[in-house]
Amino acid sequence: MKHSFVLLTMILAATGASAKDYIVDQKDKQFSQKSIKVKVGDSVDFRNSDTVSHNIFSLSETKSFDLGSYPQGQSKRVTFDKPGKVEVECSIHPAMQMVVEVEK
Amino acid sequence: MKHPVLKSVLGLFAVLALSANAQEKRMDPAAAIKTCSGDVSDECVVRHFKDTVEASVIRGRLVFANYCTLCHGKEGKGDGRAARLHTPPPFNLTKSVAPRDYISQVVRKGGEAMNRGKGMPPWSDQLTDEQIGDTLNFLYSIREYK
Repeated sequence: MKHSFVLLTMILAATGASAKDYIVDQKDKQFSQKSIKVKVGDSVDFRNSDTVSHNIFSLSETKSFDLGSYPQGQSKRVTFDKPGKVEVECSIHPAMQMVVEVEK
Repeated sequence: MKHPVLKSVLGLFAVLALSANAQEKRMDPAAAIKTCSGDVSDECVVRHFKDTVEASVIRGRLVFANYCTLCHGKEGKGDGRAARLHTPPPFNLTKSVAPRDYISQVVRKGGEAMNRGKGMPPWSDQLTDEQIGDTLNFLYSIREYK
């Protein structure tokens, strides 16, 4: 039993079980927050609660991604694997901008 | 002024004089394109282009600058700053020979619905019919093959 517990702890540590998930919402053509601080390995779910589609992307060197266009009720996840500043935008709504600060 | 008829006549002359002045100031569209700033609220645009195809092209250029340059680039050549995120890359719109209705559908429904690249989002929620019409006029104006 004791050995099993140690093994489970090691597996959880190895798989980064301490990583957290955050939610950033999109409503009224705005992100729910202008910035968010996360740790390396953490993920952010970009949820669309708007009545229109959004297309979230980033061109930042720290994390470059394009989530494609998705409608209300859907959510797409990004895991941040390097420290640095990630500027996130919506390609359909240029005024939508936010920053994810990824810390070590 | 005591005489109402004289007052009306003078008023009419004033209106005609203003109208003639406005007519005189109206530039040739080709010259005005170089003069006006391109802002739709710009008095220059209103005076010289209102309800003309040239006005529509100017408005379309603004829509394009706001929403399309990100991927298609400032001149529509498919070299916008987000172009590198997409495979296939954004289309070089100056090379387009597609019919207006087809492009209209791609703009409204997005690339995936039209069996093209998924990178092109559907714009029907975001843009009005007038904005899409103006953008199509602008796109036609930058075509190499007309």
